[in-house]
Amino acid sequence: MIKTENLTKRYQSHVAVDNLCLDVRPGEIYGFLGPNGAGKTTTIHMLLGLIRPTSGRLLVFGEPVEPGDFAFKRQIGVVAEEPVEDSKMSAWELVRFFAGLYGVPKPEPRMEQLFHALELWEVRHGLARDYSRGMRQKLSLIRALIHEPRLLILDEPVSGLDPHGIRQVRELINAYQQSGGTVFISSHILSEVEHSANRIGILHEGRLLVEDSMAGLRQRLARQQRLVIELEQVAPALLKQLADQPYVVDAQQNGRQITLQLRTQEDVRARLSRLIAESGGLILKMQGDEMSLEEAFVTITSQDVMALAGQARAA
Amino acid sequence: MEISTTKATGDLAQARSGPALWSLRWRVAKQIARQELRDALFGWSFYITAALGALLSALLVYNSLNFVSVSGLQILPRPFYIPLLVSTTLAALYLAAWATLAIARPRDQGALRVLFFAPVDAYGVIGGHILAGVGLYALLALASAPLLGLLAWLTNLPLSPLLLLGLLLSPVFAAVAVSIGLFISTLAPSSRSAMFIFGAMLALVLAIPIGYTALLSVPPTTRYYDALLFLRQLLQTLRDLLSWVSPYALLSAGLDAASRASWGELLLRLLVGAAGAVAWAWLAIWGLQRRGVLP
Repeated sequence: MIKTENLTKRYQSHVAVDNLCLDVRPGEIYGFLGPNGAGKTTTIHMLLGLIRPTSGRLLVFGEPVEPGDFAFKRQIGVVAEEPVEDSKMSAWELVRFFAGLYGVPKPEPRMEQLFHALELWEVRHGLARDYSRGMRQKLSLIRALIHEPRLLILDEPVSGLDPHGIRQVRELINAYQQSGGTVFISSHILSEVEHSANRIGILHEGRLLVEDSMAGLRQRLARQQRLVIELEQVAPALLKQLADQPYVVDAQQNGRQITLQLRTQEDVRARLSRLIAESGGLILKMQGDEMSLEEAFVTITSQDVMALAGQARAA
Repeated sequence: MEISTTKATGDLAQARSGPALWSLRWRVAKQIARQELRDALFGWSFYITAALGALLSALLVYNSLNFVSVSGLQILPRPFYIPLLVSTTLAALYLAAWATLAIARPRDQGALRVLFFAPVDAYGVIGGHILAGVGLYALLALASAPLLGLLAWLTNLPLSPLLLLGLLLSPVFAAVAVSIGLFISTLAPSSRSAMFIFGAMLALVLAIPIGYTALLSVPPTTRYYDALLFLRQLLQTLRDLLSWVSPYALLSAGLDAASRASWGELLLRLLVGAAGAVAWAWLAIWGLQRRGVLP
């Protein structure tokens, strides 16, 4: 459905997207994750032909997207990260305007269905620019679905929504996928996509660090453990000593408590105990637990990119 | 709920073919023109321009009547030429300013990016704005025609049908003003700088004939006369050039040619106007493709 081959976007010395190779399959929900500034929106803009890639190839619906192409967007629905509506149109008129751009002959029955589904029916004649952020987000989704697209591209689709709104949008996205649509969701929050995405790609500083199914990602992250150690007192050099260990990703101190992020499947507790004892520390408590996906995502994207990219390739 | 995804299919290769692309662009242009017209009619600036044009026309006719009564003249040639020229020039100025903001402002706000999520390209967007601009001008011109008729009936001054023919053809010159505004709008970094560039261009266009006229009165005994003479010749050349490029000069010359029944000159001005509108529109399309739709 979407395929990129070594897609790169450079702005003078800054590389926004670096040799990105994505493969979004028909009928799946693909979660495109990364912290703010990772290059997610730049990638979406390249997919839509809004900016030209510096190099690389881009295929949508199996066809290469050339500069100046726009007809392929008839089959795509897009929800922007920050929807802005400044015209004097009501929400109803705005959606009808976009239906006209897409060439939908009689959009009213579908508009009615979508306005009801997202609970905007009662306020459909209100000015779109007077809508709250959450309401505008829902309106963007209605606009994106009005022409019954084959591919839905969502950039932070639930930002600004309350929990009820988030559930409504999720239901709509799932219903869309069940009817055969493909969804590409970009987000910086893992929990936003972990329940619905079939596969996930994690982008950091323009590079794709990991691309895997949810199950595969969980398996990969099982190697990442967290250990909480409580000491009678923490020697000054101990934290650095712990952080220098090859299996320690991150070490944080909070009073007498040290939290370690580990990247290993081995049990390293004995080694750590010895190290702490040699530095004169007395362990009161040591507790290990598996990182949640959210924590793992944060850890992954805060690690050295090159090292992780190499690790992902090796895995 | 059920969400179907089957409708937006079709052969992409066919959709990319020439006739299908132009049909898509035409549909987009019509949609945008309709929307822009509606937005302008729901705003204040359109009505302020119409009212100001009507007021200035009425004042100029009143001034002509005063002149007749004071001077005792029995014949006043073309009493409605200047009032009509002033109201149409005002309308064309309003539209050039409107077009200057038409792309730059929604781009600043991010709305242009959202528009380009749909199957839209620079041809459709620029075409739609030119259609809307010409439509707005036609509405302003339509509003001024009955007023001129009423003034003619009240004052018993003759309103030449030739002048009304000139008014009917004048949207060609308004299209030039709209296209120039759009060209500035597409390339300007922001809406504020677009308005600044527009203001600077307008000042330059006004400064050239004023400067030329001022230099005409410089006596040959003046120091640096040779340099001033060169400057005067330069300004004269620029003024002559402007008379074929500026939409306001073309509008003035076109209305004048129509009122004098000088058909050859009218046709020439119309052809130059149409060519200018196409050239500036093409530059606006190029500008939008080059500068892009992102803030």
